[in-house]
Amino acid sequence: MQTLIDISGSMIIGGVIILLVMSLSSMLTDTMYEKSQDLITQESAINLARIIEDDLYKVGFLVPGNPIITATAKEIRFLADINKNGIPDTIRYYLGDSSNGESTPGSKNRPLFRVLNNEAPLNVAIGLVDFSFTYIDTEGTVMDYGDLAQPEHRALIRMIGFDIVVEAVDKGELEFLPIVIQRRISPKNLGGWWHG
Amino acid sequence: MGKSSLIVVFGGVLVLYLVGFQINRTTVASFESSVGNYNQFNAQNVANQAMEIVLTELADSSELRVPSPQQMPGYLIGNILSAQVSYTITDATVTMGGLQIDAVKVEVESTVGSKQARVVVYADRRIGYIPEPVRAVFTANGPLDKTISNMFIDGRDHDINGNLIANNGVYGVSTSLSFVNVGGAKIGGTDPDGIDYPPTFPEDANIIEENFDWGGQFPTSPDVVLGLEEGTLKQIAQSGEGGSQYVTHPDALTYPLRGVTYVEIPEGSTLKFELRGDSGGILVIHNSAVNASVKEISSKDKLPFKGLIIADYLFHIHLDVIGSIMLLSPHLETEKTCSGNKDKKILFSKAALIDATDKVSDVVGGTGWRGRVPILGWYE
Repeated sequence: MQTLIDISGSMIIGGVIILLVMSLSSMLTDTMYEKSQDLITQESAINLARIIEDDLYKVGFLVPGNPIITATAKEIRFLADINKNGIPDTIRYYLGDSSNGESTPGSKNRPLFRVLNNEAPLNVAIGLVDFSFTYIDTEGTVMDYGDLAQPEHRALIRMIGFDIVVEAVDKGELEFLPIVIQRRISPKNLGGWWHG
Repeated sequence: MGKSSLIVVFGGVLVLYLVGFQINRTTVASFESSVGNYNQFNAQNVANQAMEIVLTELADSSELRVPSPQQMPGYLIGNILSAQVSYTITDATVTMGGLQIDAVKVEVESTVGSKQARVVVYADRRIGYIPEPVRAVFTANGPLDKTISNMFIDGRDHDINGNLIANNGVYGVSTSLSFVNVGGAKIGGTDPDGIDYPPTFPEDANIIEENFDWGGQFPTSPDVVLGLEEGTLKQIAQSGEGGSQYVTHPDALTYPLRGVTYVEIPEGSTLKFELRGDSGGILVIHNSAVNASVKEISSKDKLPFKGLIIADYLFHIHLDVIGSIMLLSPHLETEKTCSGNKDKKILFSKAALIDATDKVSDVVGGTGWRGRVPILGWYE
Protein backbone atom coordinates (compact mmCIF):
# COMPACT_ATOMS: atom_id res chain seq x y z
CA MET A 1 0.00 0.00 0.00
CA GLN A 2 2.83 2.34 1.03
CA THR A 3 4.64 1.63 -2.27
CA LEU A 4 1.49 2.43 -4.21
CA ILE A 5 1.17 5.78 -2.43
CA ASP A 6 4.87 6.51 -3.14
CA ILE A 7 4.46 5.73 -6.82
CA SER A 8 1.28 7.84 -7.10
CA GLY A 9 2.91 10.73 -5.26
CA SER A 10 6.01 10.52 -7.50
CA MET A 11 3.82 10.47 -10.58
CA ILE A 12 1.88 13.54 -9.45
CA ILE A 13 4.99 15.47 -8.47
CA GLY A 14 6.80 14.32 -11.64
CA GLY A 15 3.80 15.35 -13.73
CA VAL A 16 3.67 18.75 -12.12
CA ILE A 17 7.40 19.21 -12.72
CA ILE A 18 7.00 18.11 -16.33
CA LEU A 19 4.12 20.57 -16.80
CA LEU A 20 6.10 23.34 -15.18
CA VAL A 21 9.16 22.64 -17.32
CA MET A 22 7.03 22.44 -20.46
CA SER A 23 5.18 25.67 -19.76
CA LEU A 24 8.43 27.45 -18.82
CA SER A 25 10.04 26.11 -21.93
CA SER A 26 7.09 27.29 -24.04
CA MET A 27 7.18 30.70 -22.39
CA LEU A 28 10.89 31.04 -22.94
CA THR A 29 10.57 29.94 -26.53
CA ASP A 30 7.94 32.65 -27.07
CA THR A 31 10.19 35.19 -25.39
CA MET A 32 13.11 34.12 -27.53
CA TYR A 33 10.96 34.39 -30.64
CA GLU A 34 9.66 37.78 -29.53
CA LYS A 35 13.19 39.03 -28.88
CA SER A 36 14.38 37.78 -32.25
CA GLN A 37 11.44 39.39 -34.04
CA ASP A 38 11.99 42.63 -32.12
CA LEU A 39 15.63 42.66 -33.15
CA ILE A 40 14.81 41.92 -36.78
CA THR A 41 12.12 44.63 -36.82
CA GLN A 42 14.38 47.13 -35.11
CA GLU A 43 17.19 46.44 -37.58
CA SER A 44 14.78 46.61 -40.53
CA ALA A 45 13.55 50.00 -39.38
CA ILE A 46 17.04 51.37 -38.74
CA ASN A 47 18.38 50.07 -42.04
CA LEU A 48 15.46 51.60 -43.91
CA ALA A 49 15.95 54.93 -42.15
CA ARG A 50 19.68 54.83 -42.97
CA ILE A 51 19.06 54.14 -46.65
CA ILE A 52 16.66 57.08 -46.93
CA GLU A 53 18.82 59.40 -44.82
CA ASP A 54 21.89 58.55 -46.81
CA ASP A 55 20.17 59.78 -49.98
CA LEU A 56 18.42 62.77 -48.41
CA TYR A 57 21.71 64.15 -47.06
CA LYS A 58 22.85 64.41 -50.69
CA VAL A 59 19.86 66.32 -52.09
CA GLY A 60 21.20 68.99 -54.44
CA PHE A 61 24.83 67.83 -54.26
CA LEU A 62 26.66 69.58 -57.11
CA VAL A 63 23.37 70.61 -58.73
CA PRO A 64 22.73 74.31 -59.39
CA GLY A 65 19.17 75.56 -58.98
CA ASN A 66 16.32 73.87 -57.16
CA PRO A 67 17.01 70.12 -56.96
CA ILE A 68 13.61 68.93 -55.67
CA ILE A 69 11.34 67.87 -58.53
CA THR A 70 8.49 66.15 -56.69
CA ALA A 71 7.52 66.56 -53.05
CA THR A 72 4.41 64.83 -51.74
CA ALA A 73 3.57 62.88 -48.61
CA LYS A 74 4.24 59.56 -50.27
CA GLU A 75 6.85 60.50 -52.87
CA ILE A 76 9.99 62.55 -53.31
CA ARG A 77 12.08 63.00 -56.45
CA PHE A 78 15.25 65.03 -56.42
CA LEU A 79 18.54 65.64 -58.16
CA ALA A 80 21.98 64.97 -56.71
CA ASP A 81 25.24 64.09 -58.37
CA ILE A 82 25.75 61.05 -56.15
CA ASN A 83 28.26 59.49 -58.54
CA LYS A 84 30.27 62.73 -58.68
CA ASN A 85 30.52 62.41 -62.46
CA GLY A 86 29.24 65.88 -63.31
CA ILE A 87 25.83 64.57 -64.35
CA PRO A 88 23.00 65.05 -61.85
CA ASP A 89 21.31 61.78 -60.90
CA THR A 90 17.57 61.55 -60.30
CA ILE A 91 16.58 59.72 -57.13
CA ARG A 92 12.98 58.88 -56.41
CA TYR A 93 11.31 57.31 -53.41
CA TYR A 94 7.66 56.35 -53.51
CA LEU A 95 5.36 54.29 -51.38
CA GLY A 96 3.94 51.33 -53.27
CA ASP A 97 0.53 49.76 -53.21
CA SER A 98 -0.26 47.34 -50.37
CA SER A 99 -2.07 45.10 -52.81
CA ASN A 100 1.25 44.37 -54.43
CA GLY A 101 1.67 41.05 -52.60
CA GLU A 102 4.83 40.08 -54.41
CA SER A 103 6.83 42.90 -52.91
CA THR A 104 5.76 42.49 -49.32
CA PRO A 105 5.75 39.50 -46.99
CA GLY A 106 2.81 40.67 -44.86
CA SER A 107 -0.68 41.72 -45.90
CA LYS A 108 -0.47 45.10 -44.09
CA ASN A 109 3.04 45.74 -45.34
CA ARG A 110 3.76 48.27 -48.05
CA PRO A 111 6.75 48.47 -50.34
CA LEU A 112 8.85 51.62 -50.48
CA PHE A 113 10.57 51.87 -53.81
CA ARG A 114 13.86 53.60 -54.53
CA VAL A 115 14.56 54.44 -58.16
CA LEU A 116 17.92 55.71 -59.34
CA ASN A 117 17.72 57.38 -62.76
CA ASN A 118 16.10 54.91 -65.15
CA GLU A 119 16.88 51.79 -63.16
CA ALA A 120 14.13 49.37 -62.10
CA PRO A 121 12.37 50.27 -58.83
CA LEU A 122 13.87 48.50 -55.81
CA ASN A 123 11.82 47.82 -52.69
CA VAL A 124 13.98 48.91 -49.75
CA ALA A 125 11.47 48.22 -46.97
CA ILE A 126 10.64 45.12 -44.93
CA GLY A 127 7.65 45.20 -42.61
CA LEU A 128 6.76 48.80 -43.46
CA VAL A 129 3.15 49.60 -42.54
CA ASP A 130 3.15 53.39 -42.73
CA PHE A 131 5.38 56.02 -44.28
CA SER A 132 5.26 59.75 -45.06
CA PHE A 133 7.49 62.66 -45.99
CA THR A 134 7.14 66.17 -44.55
CA TYR A 135 8.79 69.34 -45.81
CA ILE A 136 9.88 72.32 -43.77
CA ASP A 137 10.58 75.75 -45.25
CA THR A 138 13.06 78.54 -44.53
CA GLU A 139 10.89 79.77 -41.65
CA GLY A 140 10.77 76.35 -40.01
CA THR A 141 7.12 75.87 -40.98
CA VAL A 142 5.75 72.54 -42.18
CA MET A 143 4.73 73.13 -45.80
CA ASP A 144 1.36 72.34 -47.31
CA TYR A 145 1.50 69.43 -49.77
CA GLY A 146 -0.81 71.29 -52.16
CA ASP A 147 1.61 74.22 -52.41
CA LEU A 148 4.50 71.89 -53.11
CA ALA A 149 3.14 71.21 -56.59
CA GLN A 150 4.59 74.62 -57.50
CA PRO A 151 8.36 74.73 -58.16
CA GLU A 152 8.70 78.08 -56.39
CA HIS A 153 7.41 76.53 -53.19
CA ARG A 154 9.65 73.52 -53.52
CA ALA A 155 12.56 75.95 -53.82
CA LEU A 156 11.85 77.00 -50.24
CA ILE A 157 12.32 73.52 -48.77
CA ARG A 158 15.18 73.49 -46.30
CA MET A 159 14.42 70.38 -44.27
CA ILE A 160 12.90 67.03 -45.20
CA GLY A 161 11.33 64.78 -42.61
CA PHE A 162 10.16 61.21 -42.87
CA ASP A 163 8.18 59.02 -40.49
CA ILE A 164 8.33 55.27 -40.77
CA VAL A 165 6.37 52.60 -38.94
CA VAL A 166 7.72 49.08 -39.17
CA GLU A 167 6.10 45.98 -37.71
CA ALA A 168 7.31 42.42 -37.31
CA VAL A 169 6.71 40.59 -40.56
CA ASP A 170 5.91 37.20 -39.04
CA LYS A 171 4.02 37.94 -35.86
CA GLY A 172 2.12 34.69 -35.34
CA GLU A 173 -0.30 35.18 -32.47
CA LEU A 174 2.08 37.29 -30.44
CA GLU A 175 1.69 41.01 -29.85
CA PHE A 176 4.51 43.28 -30.99
CA LEU A 177 4.91 46.99 -30.58
CA PRO A 178 5.66 48.65 -33.92
CA ILE A 179 8.98 50.47 -34.35
CA VAL A 180 8.39 54.15 -35.15
CA ILE A 181 11.23 56.29 -36.47
CA GLN A 182 10.91 60.01 -37.13
CA ARG A 183 13.77 61.82 -38.80
CA ARG A 184 14.29 65.44 -39.85
CA ILE A 185 17.11 65.87 -42.33
CA SER A 186 18.56 69.24 -43.20
CA PRO A 187 20.41 68.66 -46.48
CA LYS A 188 23.32 71.08 -46.48
CA ASN A 189 23.12 71.59 -50.23
CA LEU A 190 19.69 73.22 -50.01
CA GLY A 191 19.69 77.00 -49.86
CA GLY A 192 23.43 77.13 -50.25
CA TRP A 193 25.78 79.33 -52.19
CA TRP A 194 24.45 78.26 -55.55
CA HIS A 195 20.83 77.80 -54.55
CA GLY A 196 20.47 81.30 -53.18
CA MET B 1 9.41 6.54 -13.20
CA GLY B 2 12.24 8.06 -11.16
CA LYS B 3 14.61 7.76 -14.14
CA SER B 4 12.02 9.20 -16.53
CA SER B 5 11.40 12.14 -14.23
CA LEU B 6 15.11 12.79 -14.02
CA ILE B 7 15.45 12.66 -17.80
CA VAL B 8 12.52 15.03 -18.21
CA VAL B 9 13.89 17.43 -15.59
CA PHE B 10 17.41 17.37 -17.02
CA GLY B 11 16.01 17.72 -20.52
CA GLY B 12 13.92 20.66 -19.36
CA VAL B 13 16.93 22.27 -17.73
CA LEU B 14 18.92 21.81 -20.93
CA VAL B 15 16.11 23.37 -22.97
CA LEU B 16 15.93 26.25 -20.48
CA TYR B 17 19.67 26.75 -20.75
CA LEU B 18 19.61 26.76 -24.54
CA VAL B 19 16.63 29.12 -24.71
CA GLY B 20 18.18 31.38 -22.07
CA PHE B 21 21.44 31.38 -24.01
CA GLN B 22 19.60 32.31 -27.20
CA ILE B 23 17.65 35.10 -25.45
CA ASN B 24 20.86 36.43 -24.00
CA ARG B 25 22.51 36.35 -27.42
CA THR B 26 19.56 38.19 -28.98
CA THR B 27 19.58 40.76 -26.18
CA VAL B 28 23.32 41.34 -26.65
CA ALA B 29 22.81 41.66 -30.42
CA SER B 30 20.00 44.16 -29.84
CA PHE B 31 22.18 46.13 -27.44
CA GLU B 32 25.11 46.06 -29.87
CA SER B 33 22.78 47.24 -32.63
CA SER B 34 21.71 50.21 -30.48
CA VAL B 35 25.29 51.03 -29.51
CA GLY B 36 26.39 50.71 -33.14
CA ASN B 37 23.61 53.00 -34.26
CA TYR B 38 24.52 55.51 -31.55
CA ASN B 39 28.19 55.38 -32.57
CA GLN B 40 27.28 55.82 -36.23
CA PHE B 41 25.31 58.96 -35.39
CA ASN B 42 28.15 60.27 -33.29
CA ALA B 43 30.72 59.52 -35.98
CA GLN B 44 28.63 61.47 -38.49
CA ASN B 45 28.08 64.38 -36.10
CA VAL B 46 31.76 64.52 -35.24
CA ALA B 47 32.69 64.44 -38.95
CA ASN B 48 30.34 67.35 -39.66
CA GLN B 49 31.63 69.28 -36.66
CA ALA B 50 35.22 68.65 -37.72
CA MET B 51 34.36 69.78 -41.24
CA GLU B 52 33.18 73.13 -39.89
CA ILE B 53 36.47 73.51 -38.03
CA VAL B 54 38.48 72.75 -41.17
CA LEU B 55 36.34 75.13 -43.27
CA THR B 56 36.95 77.91 -40.75
CA GLU B 57 40.70 77.30 -41.11
CA LEU B 58 40.30 77.37 -44.87
CA ALA B 59 38.34 80.62 -44.70
CA ASP B 60 41.22 82.21 -42.79
CA SER B 61 43.77 80.88 -45.21
CA SER B 62 42.40 80.07 -48.65
CA GLU B 63 45.80 78.72 -49.75
CA LEU B 64 45.81 76.07 -47.01
CA ARG B 65 46.28 72.56 -48.41
CA VAL B 66 46.75 69.30 -46.49
CA PRO B 67 47.48 66.64 -49.13
CA SER B 68 47.91 63.67 -46.77
CA PRO B 69 45.57 62.79 -43.89
CA GLN B 70 46.23 64.83 -40.78
CA GLN B 71 44.93 63.84 -37.38
CA MET B 72 42.74 66.44 -35.70
CA PRO B 73 43.57 67.14 -32.04
CA GLY B 74 41.08 65.57 -29.63
CA TYR B 75 40.43 68.81 -27.76
CA LEU B 76 38.90 70.31 -30.91
CA ILE B 77 36.31 67.60 -31.42
CA GLY B 78 35.56 66.50 -27.86
CA ASN B 79 37.50 63.75 -26.15
CA ILE B 80 34.36 62.40 -24.53
CA LEU B 81 33.43 60.39 -27.61
CA SER B 82 36.96 59.07 -28.06
CA ALA B 83 36.58 59.99 -31.69
CA GLN B 84 39.47 59.86 -34.12
CA VAL B 85 39.30 62.39 -36.93
CA SER B 86 41.58 62.92 -39.90
CA TYR B 87 41.25 65.38 -42.76
CA THR B 88 42.75 66.39 -46.08
CA ILE B 89 42.47 69.56 -48.17
CA THR B 90 43.34 69.23 -51.84
CA ASP B 91 42.64 70.96 -55.13
CA ALA B 92 40.05 69.38 -57.41
CA THR B 93 37.87 70.11 -60.40
CA VAL B 94 34.15 69.50 -60.29
CA THR B 95 31.55 69.65 -63.00
CA MET B 96 28.44 71.50 -61.96
CA GLY B 97 25.70 72.75 -64.22
CA GLY B 98 27.82 71.69 -67.19
CA LEU B 99 30.69 73.93 -66.10
CA GLN B 100 34.16 72.85 -64.99
CA ILE B 101 34.84 74.60 -61.70
CA ASP B 102 38.17 74.78 -59.90
CA ALA B 103 37.43 73.65 -56.38
CA VAL B 104 39.03 72.85 -53.06
CA LYS B 105 38.13 69.36 -51.84
CA VAL B 106 37.96 68.89 -48.08
CA GLU B 107 37.61 65.33 -46.77
CA VAL B 108 36.99 64.45 -43.15
CA GLU B 109 36.89 60.91 -41.77
CA SER B 110 35.86 60.15 -38.22
CA THR B 111 35.81 56.93 -36.22
CA VAL B 112 33.76 56.38 -33.08
CA GLY B 113 34.01 52.86 -31.67
CA SER B 114 33.84 50.57 -34.68
CA LYS B 115 31.81 53.02 -36.77
CA GLN B 116 33.15 55.41 -39.37
CA ALA B 117 31.72 58.41 -41.18
CA ARG B 118 33.07 60.42 -44.06
CA VAL B 119 32.12 63.93 -45.15
CA VAL B 120 33.37 65.55 -48.35
CA VAL B 121 32.92 69.20 -49.18
CA TYR B 122 33.74 70.93 -52.44
CA ALA B 123 34.34 74.65 -52.09
CA ASP B 124 34.62 77.00 -55.03
CA ARG B 125 38.21 78.16 -55.40
CA ARG B 126 36.80 81.44 -56.59
CA ILE B 127 35.68 83.05 -53.40
CA GLY B 128 33.47 85.62 -55.00
CA TYR B 129 30.10 86.63 -53.61
CA ILE B 130 26.84 88.39 -54.40
CA PRO B 131 27.12 92.00 -53.16
CA GLU B 132 24.30 92.75 -50.75
CA PRO B 133 23.09 95.96 -52.46
CA VAL B 134 22.46 94.03 -55.68
CA ARG B 135 18.73 93.64 -55.23
CA ALA B 136 17.86 93.32 -58.91
CA VAL B 137 19.47 92.84 -62.26
CA PHE B 138 19.07 96.63 -62.54
CA THR B 139 19.42 98.39 -59.15
CA ALA B 140 19.33 102.19 -58.81
CA ASN B 141 18.75 105.05 -56.44
CA GLY B 142 17.23 107.18 -59.17
CA PRO B 143 14.52 107.05 -61.83
CA LEU B 144 14.93 104.09 -64.17
CA ASP B 145 11.86 104.74 -66.36
CA LYS B 146 13.87 106.12 -69.27
CA THR B 147 17.17 104.32 -68.69
CA ILE B 148 15.91 100.80 -69.21
CA SER B 149 14.20 101.87 -72.48
CA ASN B 150 12.89 98.84 -74.40
CA MET B 151 15.51 96.30 -73.41
CA PHE B 152 15.09 92.65 -72.38
CA ILE B 153 15.75 92.57 -68.64
CA ASP B 154 15.73 89.27 -66.81
CA GLY B 155 16.37 89.02 -63.06
CA ARG B 156 16.04 85.24 -63.10
CA ASP B 157 19.37 83.53 -62.47
CA HIS B 158 21.54 82.43 -65.38
CA ASP B 159 24.81 80.61 -65.63
CA ILE B 160 27.88 82.29 -67.04
CA ASN B 161 26.73 81.41 -70.56
CA GLY B 162 23.27 82.86 -70.10
CA ASN B 163 21.44 79.56 -69.54
CA LEU B 164 18.51 79.84 -67.15
CA ILE B 165 18.74 78.51 -63.56
CA ALA B 166 15.23 78.27 -62.13
CA ASN B 167 13.93 79.94 -58.95
CA ASN B 168 17.26 81.40 -57.94
CA GLY B 169 17.25 85.01 -59.11
CA VAL B 170 16.39 88.54 -57.98
CA TYR B 171 14.02 91.36 -58.90
CA GLY B 172 14.08 92.63 -62.47
CA VAL B 173 14.24 96.26 -61.35
CA SER B 174 14.82 97.83 -57.96
CA THR B 175 14.71 101.57 -57.40
CA SER B 176 14.21 103.85 -54.45
CA LEU B 177 11.69 105.85 -56.55
CA SER B 178 8.55 104.85 -58.38
CA PHE B 179 8.91 102.98 -61.66
CA VAL B 180 6.92 103.11 -64.88
CA ASN B 181 8.01 100.99 -67.81
CA VAL B 182 7.52 103.75 -70.39
CA GLY B 183 9.81 102.24 -73.00
CA GLY B 184 8.02 98.92 -73.23
CA ALA B 185 10.90 96.86 -71.87
CA LYS B 186 10.29 93.16 -71.34
CA ILE B 187 11.11 92.60 -67.69
CA GLY B 188 11.29 89.34 -65.76
CA GLY B 189 12.82 88.16 -62.52
CA THR B 190 12.41 86.12 -59.37
CA ASP B 191 10.33 87.39 -56.47
CA PRO B 192 11.47 86.98 -52.83
CA ASP B 193 9.46 83.73 -52.56
CA GLY B 194 11.57 82.22 -55.32
CA ILE B 195 8.87 82.43 -57.97
CA ASP B 196 10.21 83.03 -61.47
CA TYR B 197 8.51 85.43 -63.89
CA PRO B 198 9.73 85.30 -67.48
CA PRO B 199 10.28 88.72 -69.12
CA THR B 200 7.04 90.24 -70.39
CA PHE B 201 5.58 93.61 -71.24
CA PRO B 202 3.74 94.71 -69.28
CA GLU B 203 5.84 93.19 -66.54
CA ASP B 204 4.57 91.42 -63.44
CA ALA B 205 4.56 93.75 -60.43
CA ASN B 206 6.03 91.02 -58.23
CA ILE B 207 9.47 91.39 -59.80
CA ILE B 208 9.59 95.19 -59.62
CA GLU B 209 10.79 96.75 -56.41
CA GLU B 210 9.91 100.44 -56.34
CA ASN B 211 10.19 103.02 -53.56
CA PHE B 212 12.63 100.78 -51.77
CA ASP B 213 13.69 102.41 -48.52
CA TRP B 214 17.45 102.16 -48.18
CA GLY B 215 17.26 104.03 -44.89
CA GLY B 216 19.80 106.53 -46.17
CA GLN B 217 22.23 103.69 -46.81
CA PHE B 218 22.19 103.54 -50.61
CA PRO B 219 25.82 103.09 -51.65
CA THR B 220 27.38 106.24 -53.03
CA SER B 221 30.60 104.60 -54.07
CA PRO B 222 31.52 101.32 -55.80
CA ASP B 223 33.53 100.24 -52.75
CA VAL B 224 30.44 100.43 -50.55
CA VAL B 225 28.51 98.33 -53.08
CA LEU B 226 31.07 95.59 -52.64
CA GLY B 227 31.47 96.03 -48.88
CA LEU B 228 35.06 97.21 -49.23
CA GLU B 229 37.04 99.97 -47.58
CA GLU B 230 36.91 103.20 -49.54
CA GLY B 231 39.60 103.30 -52.23
CA THR B 232 40.11 99.50 -52.42
CA LEU B 233 38.75 99.06 -55.94
CA LYS B 234 40.83 101.92 -57.29
CA GLN B 235 43.87 100.46 -55.59
CA ILE B 236 43.26 97.00 -57.11
CA ALA B 237 42.68 98.58 -60.54
CA GLN B 238 45.90 100.59 -60.28
CA SER B 239 47.86 97.49 -59.18
CA GLY B 240 47.03 95.79 -62.49
CA GLU B 241 46.28 92.54 -60.63
CA GLY B 242 44.59 89.92 -62.80
CA GLY B 243 44.35 92.29 -65.78
CA SER B 244 42.83 95.14 -63.75
CA GLN B 245 43.14 98.67 -65.18
CA TYR B 246 42.69 102.22 -64.00
CA VAL B 247 42.06 104.99 -66.57
CA THR B 248 40.41 108.37 -66.75
CA HIS B 249 39.15 107.86 -70.30
CA PRO B 250 37.85 104.64 -71.91
CA ASP B 251 40.10 105.14 -74.97
CA ALA B 252 43.08 104.28 -72.77
CA LEU B 253 41.80 100.79 -71.98
CA THR B 254 43.20 97.57 -73.40
CA TYR B 255 40.82 94.71 -74.16
CA PRO B 256 39.31 92.35 -73.18
CA LEU B 257 38.57 93.79 -69.76
CA ARG B 258 39.47 91.57 -66.83
CA GLY B 259 39.58 91.93 -63.05
CA VAL B 260 38.66 95.42 -61.87
CA THR B 261 38.38 98.09 -64.53
CA TYR B 262 38.11 101.52 -62.93
CA VAL B 263 37.22 104.39 -65.26
CA GLU B 264 37.30 107.64 -63.32
CA ILE B 265 35.68 110.10 -65.66
CA PRO B 266 36.36 113.72 -64.66
CA GLU B 267 33.47 115.65 -63.21
CA GLY B 268 31.20 117.20 -65.80
CA SER B 269 32.48 115.01 -68.68
CA THR B 270 30.07 113.02 -70.81
CA LEU B 271 31.38 110.42 -73.19
CA LYS B 272 30.71 107.27 -75.21
CA PHE B 273 32.16 103.92 -74.24
CA GLU B 274 32.72 101.08 -76.71
CA LEU B 275 33.85 97.76 -75.22
CA ARG B 276 35.72 95.13 -77.22
CA GLY B 277 36.26 91.39 -76.99
CA ASP B 278 34.70 89.14 -74.39
CA SER B 279 35.12 91.55 -71.54
CA GLY B 280 34.13 90.83 -67.96
CA GLY B 281 34.88 91.37 -64.29
CA ILE B 282 33.97 94.51 -62.37
CA LEU B 283 33.55 97.64 -64.48
CA VAL B 284 33.43 100.86 -62.47
CA ILE B 285 32.55 104.16 -64.13
CA HIS B 286 32.59 106.69 -61.34
CA ASN B 287 33.95 109.88 -59.88
CA SER B 288 33.80 111.37 -56.40
CA ALA B 289 30.90 113.68 -57.37
CA VAL B 290 28.89 110.60 -58.49
CA ASN B 291 28.25 112.21 -61.89
CA ALA B 292 30.51 110.22 -64.24
CA SER B 293 28.29 110.24 -67.29
CA VAL B 294 28.26 107.69 -70.12
CA LYS B 295 25.74 108.68 -72.75
CA GLU B 296 26.24 105.47 -74.73
CA ILE B 297 27.86 102.13 -73.96
CA SER B 298 28.16 99.38 -76.55
CA SER B 299 30.22 96.37 -77.60
CA LYS B 300 32.11 96.56 -80.88
CA ASP B 301 32.26 92.76 -81.15
CA LYS B 302 28.64 92.28 -80.02
CA LEU B 303 29.81 90.06 -77.14
CA PRO B 304 28.17 90.26 -73.71
CA PHE B 305 29.95 91.82 -70.76
CA LYS B 306 30.06 89.17 -68.00
CA GLY B 307 30.15 90.55 -64.49
CA LEU B 308 29.12 93.63 -62.55
CA ILE B 309 28.83 97.15 -63.93
CA ILE B 310 28.78 99.88 -61.28
CA ALA B 311 28.25 103.29 -62.85
CA ASP B 312 27.04 106.70 -61.81
CA TYR B 313 24.97 107.39 -64.92
CA LEU B 314 24.41 105.25 -68.02
CA PHE B 315 22.14 105.79 -71.00
CA HIS B 316 21.83 104.14 -74.43
CA ILE B 317 22.92 100.76 -73.13
CA HIS B 318 23.58 99.03 -76.45
CA LEU B 319 25.24 96.10 -74.80
CA ASP B 320 24.36 92.62 -73.55
CA VAL B 321 25.24 91.99 -69.92
CA ILE B 322 25.34 88.69 -68.03
CA GLY B 323 25.60 89.66 -64.38
CA SER B 324 24.10 92.84 -62.99
CA ILE B 325 24.07 96.65 -63.31
CA MET B 326 24.07 99.08 -60.40
CA LEU B 327 23.58 102.82 -60.95
CA LEU B 328 24.69 105.10 -58.13
CA SER B 329 23.55 108.58 -59.16
CA PRO B 330 20.14 109.78 -57.99
CA HIS B 331 20.02 111.87 -61.19
CA LEU B 332 19.45 109.39 -63.99
CA GLU B 333 17.94 110.17 -67.40
CA THR B 334 14.41 111.58 -67.26
CA GLU B 335 14.12 113.44 -70.58
CA LYS B 336 15.66 111.55 -73.49
CA THR B 337 14.31 108.41 -75.04
CA CYS B 338 16.24 105.42 -76.33
CA SER B 339 14.48 103.01 -78.65
CA GLY B 340 17.39 101.26 -80.35
CA ASN B 341 18.24 98.54 -77.89
CA LYS B 342 15.28 96.21 -78.08
CA ASP B 343 17.65 93.37 -79.00
CA LYS B 344 19.91 93.91 -75.99
CA LYS B 345 19.65 91.65 -72.96
CA ILE B 346 20.58 92.22 -69.36
CA LEU B 347 20.56 88.80 -67.69
CA PHE B 348 21.15 88.36 -63.98
CA SER B 349 23.83 85.79 -63.20
CA LYS B 350 25.11 84.79 -59.77
CA ALA B 351 27.90 82.81 -61.42
CA ALA B 352 29.08 85.91 -63.30
CA LEU B 353 28.99 87.99 -60.11
CA ILE B 354 30.93 85.33 -58.19
CA ASP B 355 33.52 85.26 -60.97
CA ALA B 356 33.72 89.05 -61.03
CA THR B 357 34.03 89.56 -57.28
CA ASP B 358 36.59 86.79 -56.86
CA LYS B 359 39.41 89.33 -57.26
CA VAL B 360 38.24 91.46 -54.37
CA SER B 361 36.82 88.88 -51.99
CA ASP B 362 40.01 88.21 -50.02
CA VAL B 363 39.77 91.67 -48.56
CA VAL B 364 36.18 91.20 -47.40
CA GLY B 365 35.94 90.55 -43.66
CA GLY B 366 33.81 88.11 -41.74
CA THR B 367 33.91 85.43 -39.09
CA GLY B 368 33.59 81.66 -39.26
CA TRP B 369 33.43 80.08 -42.69
CA ARG B 370 29.86 80.97 -43.66
CA GLY B 371 29.78 83.70 -46.24
CA ARG B 372 33.49 83.31 -46.82
CA VAL B 373 33.83 79.81 -48.22
CA PRO B 374 31.49 79.23 -51.16
CA ILE B 375 30.27 75.66 -50.83
CA LEU B 376 29.52 73.90 -54.10
CA GLY B 377 28.51 70.60 -52.54
CA TRP B 378 28.41 68.90 -49.15
CA TYR B 379 28.52 65.10 -49.33
CA GLU B 380 27.79 63.11 -46.20
